[in-house]
Amino acid sequence: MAPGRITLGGIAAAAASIALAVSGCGGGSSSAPGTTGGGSATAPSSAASQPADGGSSDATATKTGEGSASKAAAPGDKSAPGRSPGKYEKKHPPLELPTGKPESGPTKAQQERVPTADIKVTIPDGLTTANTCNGKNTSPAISWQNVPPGTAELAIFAMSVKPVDGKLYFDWALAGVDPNLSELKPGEVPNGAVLGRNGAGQNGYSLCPAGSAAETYIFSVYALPDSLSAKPGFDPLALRKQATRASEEVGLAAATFQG
Amino acid sequence: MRTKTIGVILAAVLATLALGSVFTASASAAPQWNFAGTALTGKEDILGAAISSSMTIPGMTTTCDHFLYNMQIENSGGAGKGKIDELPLFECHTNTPACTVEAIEAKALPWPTHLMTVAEKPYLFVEGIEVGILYGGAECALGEVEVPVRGTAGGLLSNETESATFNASTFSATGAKLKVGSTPIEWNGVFPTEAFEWHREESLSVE
Repeated sequence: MAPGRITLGGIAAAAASIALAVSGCGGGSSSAPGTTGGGSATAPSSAASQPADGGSSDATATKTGEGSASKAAAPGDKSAPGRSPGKYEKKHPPLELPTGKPESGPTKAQQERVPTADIKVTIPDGLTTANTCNGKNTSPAISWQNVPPGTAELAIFAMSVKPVDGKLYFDWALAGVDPNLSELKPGEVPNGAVLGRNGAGQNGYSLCPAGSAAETYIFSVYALPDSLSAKPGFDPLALRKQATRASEEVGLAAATFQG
Repeated sequence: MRTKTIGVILAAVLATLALGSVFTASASAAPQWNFAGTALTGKEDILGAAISSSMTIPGMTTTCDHFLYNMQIENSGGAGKGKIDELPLFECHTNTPACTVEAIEAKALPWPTHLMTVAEKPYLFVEGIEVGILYGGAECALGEVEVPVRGTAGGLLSNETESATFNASTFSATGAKLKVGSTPIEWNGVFPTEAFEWHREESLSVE
């Protein structure tokens, strides 16, 4: 199987096998485990080393048959090698297998459009009151690793996981960060970097949790192959879109503040 | 007095025997896969099928209404081993209205597995896990980035229910860690499991 590709070979065989057990078609009729009797759905990539019938392999046809994979246990083929006599009583509810198509990986277009989160970002001290507007309201320490060579600058964003008033809320946006840096100390704005306008309308950092409930924030670091030449007070939403299109690698870290 | 002495000696002998059996159990080899009470010889394919298994990045949970794995298992060198070679995920969504699941797939398959015993309980340990998730949504903080979930997973195996359970406590027991970058991910799911090749409809146990 090619890496990254999901096939339904073994799963298909399983689904077919289980479905037949339910319908009773497999009971004593199939000649070997994994066969479907009817030959309508079998196949088996993962069972290649085992005997199998010559039925056609059709993953879409084997999404558990009609979907109600098993509603009752039924004796299967006991003539095959390795089978023990006697009725097997399932110790768990019947497996419920899906009817639809499985989710798929990113399309080629999506892969070309979005960066991968391979930069390792850490908020080493987490978020404390000092990092909120109930304290000093200074940005937390943040560090990162694996910035790809050839990076012209970094852009850093902090966003609330939950949108505010239906909008993505930026608590912090920093562009023009020297790619040779690997960390920022609490409250640090490095030379050459520019601050964007945060959700509170300020050019800077501000993190104000709504209440005492835990709130999670996503910190992201974008490695940009070319400078975005952002100006102070830039629109973070627009810059993030630019950064997403321009960068191939990004780093993410989640940090939770418990009030 | 004599009766009391004999009683004490007998109790000591019984205690010694009991301790011996405990130590024997603790020192026993890694568990093996069994079908109908007999150790598996050769290989078998088993299917684990969870309903509503979820991965939680702090602040956001991604749930797949159906979450399957196909695992080829064998006993090798006296220990149960295997590899997960398929992991289709169905109907995945998040608990955050702003974020959709545009794409999700298991990568770098197969993932090696082995059985282990922790505190006298059998666990399935999965290595080399990699799941790529692409979230969508213009207002999604994790959107428009392919988020890789990488690491290991440990699930408690139950002979009583023929299932594997993955949650925070089973991860803790086995030392397994799933992460996005440096951020820990929590994986929850209960996977009833069945064989579907040579040992279809035989009871599966780990001992």
